[in-house]
Amino acid sequence: MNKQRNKIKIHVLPDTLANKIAAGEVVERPYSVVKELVENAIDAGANRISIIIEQGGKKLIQVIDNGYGMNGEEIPLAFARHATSKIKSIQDLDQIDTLGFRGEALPSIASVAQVEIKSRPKNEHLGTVYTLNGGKDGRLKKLAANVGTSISVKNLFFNTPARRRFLKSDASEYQKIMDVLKRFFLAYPHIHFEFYVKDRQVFNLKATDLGQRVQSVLGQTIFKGLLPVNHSLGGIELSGFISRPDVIRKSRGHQFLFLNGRPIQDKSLSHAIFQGYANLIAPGEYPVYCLFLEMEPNLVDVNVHPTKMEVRFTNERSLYYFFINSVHKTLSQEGVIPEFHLGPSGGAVEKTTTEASNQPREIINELRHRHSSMARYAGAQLSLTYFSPDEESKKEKTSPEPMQEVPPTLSNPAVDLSQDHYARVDVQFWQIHNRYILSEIKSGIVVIDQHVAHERILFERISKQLQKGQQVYSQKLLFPQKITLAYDDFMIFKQIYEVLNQIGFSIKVFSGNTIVIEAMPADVKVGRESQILLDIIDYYRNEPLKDFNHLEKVAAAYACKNAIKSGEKLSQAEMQTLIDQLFACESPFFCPHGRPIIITIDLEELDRKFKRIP
Amino acid sequence: MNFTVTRNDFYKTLQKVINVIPTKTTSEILYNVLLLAEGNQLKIIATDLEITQIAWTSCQINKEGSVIVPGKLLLDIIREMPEIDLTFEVDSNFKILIQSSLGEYKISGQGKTEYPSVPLVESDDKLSLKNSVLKRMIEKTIFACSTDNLRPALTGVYCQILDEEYRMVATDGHRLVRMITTDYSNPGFTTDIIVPTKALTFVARNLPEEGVQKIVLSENHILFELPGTKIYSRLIKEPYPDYERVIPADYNKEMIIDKTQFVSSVKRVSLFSNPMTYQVRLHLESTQLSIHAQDIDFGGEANESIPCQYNSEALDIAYNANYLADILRHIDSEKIRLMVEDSDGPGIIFPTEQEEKEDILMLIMPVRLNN
Repeated sequence: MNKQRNKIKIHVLPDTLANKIAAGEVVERPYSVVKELVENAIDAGANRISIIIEQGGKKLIQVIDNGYGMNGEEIPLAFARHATSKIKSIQDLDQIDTLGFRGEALPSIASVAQVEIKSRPKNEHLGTVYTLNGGKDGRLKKLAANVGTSISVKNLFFNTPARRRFLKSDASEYQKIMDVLKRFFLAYPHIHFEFYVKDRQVFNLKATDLGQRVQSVLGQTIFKGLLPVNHSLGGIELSGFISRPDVIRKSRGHQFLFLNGRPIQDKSLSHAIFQGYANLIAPGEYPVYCLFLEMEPNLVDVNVHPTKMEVRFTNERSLYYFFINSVHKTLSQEGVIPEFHLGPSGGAVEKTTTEASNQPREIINELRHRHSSMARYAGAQLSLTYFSPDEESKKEKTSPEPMQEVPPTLSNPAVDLSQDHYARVDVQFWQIHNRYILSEIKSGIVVIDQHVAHERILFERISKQLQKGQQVYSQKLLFPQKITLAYDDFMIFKQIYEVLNQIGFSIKVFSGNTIVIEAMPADVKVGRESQILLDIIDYYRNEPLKDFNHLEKVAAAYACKNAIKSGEKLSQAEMQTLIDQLFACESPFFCPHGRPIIITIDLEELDRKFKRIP
Repeated sequence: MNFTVTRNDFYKTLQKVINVIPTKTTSEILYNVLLLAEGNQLKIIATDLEITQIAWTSCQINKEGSVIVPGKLLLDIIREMPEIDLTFEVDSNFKILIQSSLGEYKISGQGKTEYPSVPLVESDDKLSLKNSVLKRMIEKTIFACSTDNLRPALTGVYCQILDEEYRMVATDGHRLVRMITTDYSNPGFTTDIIVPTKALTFVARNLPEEGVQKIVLSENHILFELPGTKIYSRLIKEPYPDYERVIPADYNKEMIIDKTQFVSSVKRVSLFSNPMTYQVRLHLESTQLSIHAQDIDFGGEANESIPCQYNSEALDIAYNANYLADILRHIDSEKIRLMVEDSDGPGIIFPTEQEEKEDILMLIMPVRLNN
């Protein structure tokens, strides 16, 4: 059934063919060439590297560095298989601190492209140029050259048409190359990088510090949403930036992890980072990060795969928890407040940032009652005015203002704005579209989402009640509600009903799928008893709250379903109470799902929009 | 259509019905009132589809007819006028010209074909009640109704016409009021209906102090015939919960306390309660009642003690302060009687002295205490 192969004898492959095969692993697409060449440039101690590509790297990839350079004898050797300057002995393999070491890259690349390399070491006057065509016909020539090495790779895969056909469009190869380059840009802020697509300069990144570099590579917008990380644990150091939970992406494109300067990918660690965000971000959302892990080279094996993107750690487990903790600590520190941007901004453009809005606690102080001791009691007083008997009944009798809107019942707890003077409200709130609360702070405007704000308040309170066994208020019902649940609802109910009873429900199973609600948490609106239970069941079933434990999930369901809805009108006093309570929360800036609760709009942003400032 | 009316007559009539106009509605037509000139009477009608109110005044009709016109606009014009004569002239395109000695106003009206018709309430089921009794019963009950539409039955007052007595009951599921009067004569039938609170609010506002109220009941509507106005309301056709079952028959624990002291104390202490739950805790002892509230989130706390007479061993019971104060302020007597079984069961509140031919009972469900 097979072709007759057995007639062919076993023989050693010629080098050119061996290199071509190896190229399959090392040189996958243009970006791999870029990666190998830039690595070499970095290993050569360059502090200025230029990268030039044409047609997504298919036509030309050129990397120019000012590193050590090679002399006429070294160059041809560099293209021999397993020739490297980077390691000498097997011992060195445990102490790898250069990027390349396998000695495979150059011969592999050369075997599938037309390569020209020009180089001059510092101590020589004349440089050397060496050309190869598909790894063959090596020609050496002396000529004048700058110190360092310039290597150009032309017509990649010109001699392997099958591979060439698999290359994608220029644009998508370009994207891949950008991804690779960004990693280098971020990993080596002290190296001056220039990147040209044909004649157009895309990046010109002068040597600087990490912060500046991150800002120019990822853009101003993202940079403003990043938090610095700096943690260490027994010789392991983690530094860099992670994004606030609202600066998330739908892909991993903005996640950078470096191990001793080498960009790596590690599923376990990236999962650890995700875990560090706890429930602040949803699955399918990816935080932005740029993290540098420094550790002894002998604690890690980077020789797992030719592309060296994967590594193996000896102490993987403890590293995992170290990552979770570091991210968590960073996030729980203050300084976590989302900002609102009215238009596209950022990019690699330098811009001055305003400091004021990055002080979340200041916003809190501004929005809370300034007489802090009076704070909530002013609000409470307002809410009590509605059961002062005289006022109400007088209104009823004399009906002084015919135009006045008469509440449908005497007990309507509405508190109108005219009573503000009771409250000494010194911060004004506006409700827009019965959905957002707007207020003014020194540096601009804050916008608060009323639903998620209340959700956060309830979530924290319920969590506290569950964890610390705090007082639970449970309003008994005059008419216990009998509900017959659908079977699948009932199954969910059975899972959660003990927790529900802990947070103030009192529900008994009557018979079969029929349950009786006898009491409710005291803040559930009258009449919503059965509805809220069904809502909670649905929520519990449908929300993919993977990172929540059972209690948290019930708490989240309750918080979401019992919170003030978008569209509910709030009085001035209710808004004040809401905001006071919000800022009494431990993390007032994000709802349990990680959606922002508060955003700020800078005056400067507005000024720019109105063209007051350029 | 053409009529002349004095400003005061027109204003008073319009004012009676104006509150029926809904503040927000998807049906634009409801922002209008219907003016109807017939015989020597001007009728003004407003409706929100649930409640329809008609008010009338005598005036000089030059030509009969009808028009609908934006109610609040009309009121705003008339309100600022002194007592003068107004002549309304409406042409065939329903352009309204209002003339007075001050000047003239032109408003665009519409034909009445679009306007919802007044419900027909024809029935022999008629009930008479003293105005003073009806008004008092409305005022004492409607505060306890639910405002939430999820359980429509509780958004109205349950009225029972029984052989010997007339009852009104209101509850929102957390508190309940039951008021019974025997100052009434049975109309020859018994029935029970649920009347929307909003309608009762309008009725209470239009009721004169003296006289007797006539109520007509049909299958789906109730009609209150008041001096100068008629209020029609749709009835809530939902089963009312069996409230009698939840009112316990007897109690062994009883506290008697000064109402004014109790109300003020609850109000003061509740300032320190959690603003979400308004929970206040009562500690009952034989000679004194302690009221306590605490807000864990903000660290506020309050404690007060007032004298009382209590006949049993010490008991802790917690209530929503708003419900409690609501109930207390609707009781007239100097002292009140609070009866409870245990801290988990309903509390029943009575005036120590009931008014003549009247029986009022209020019930409040506790907030369960557990740590």
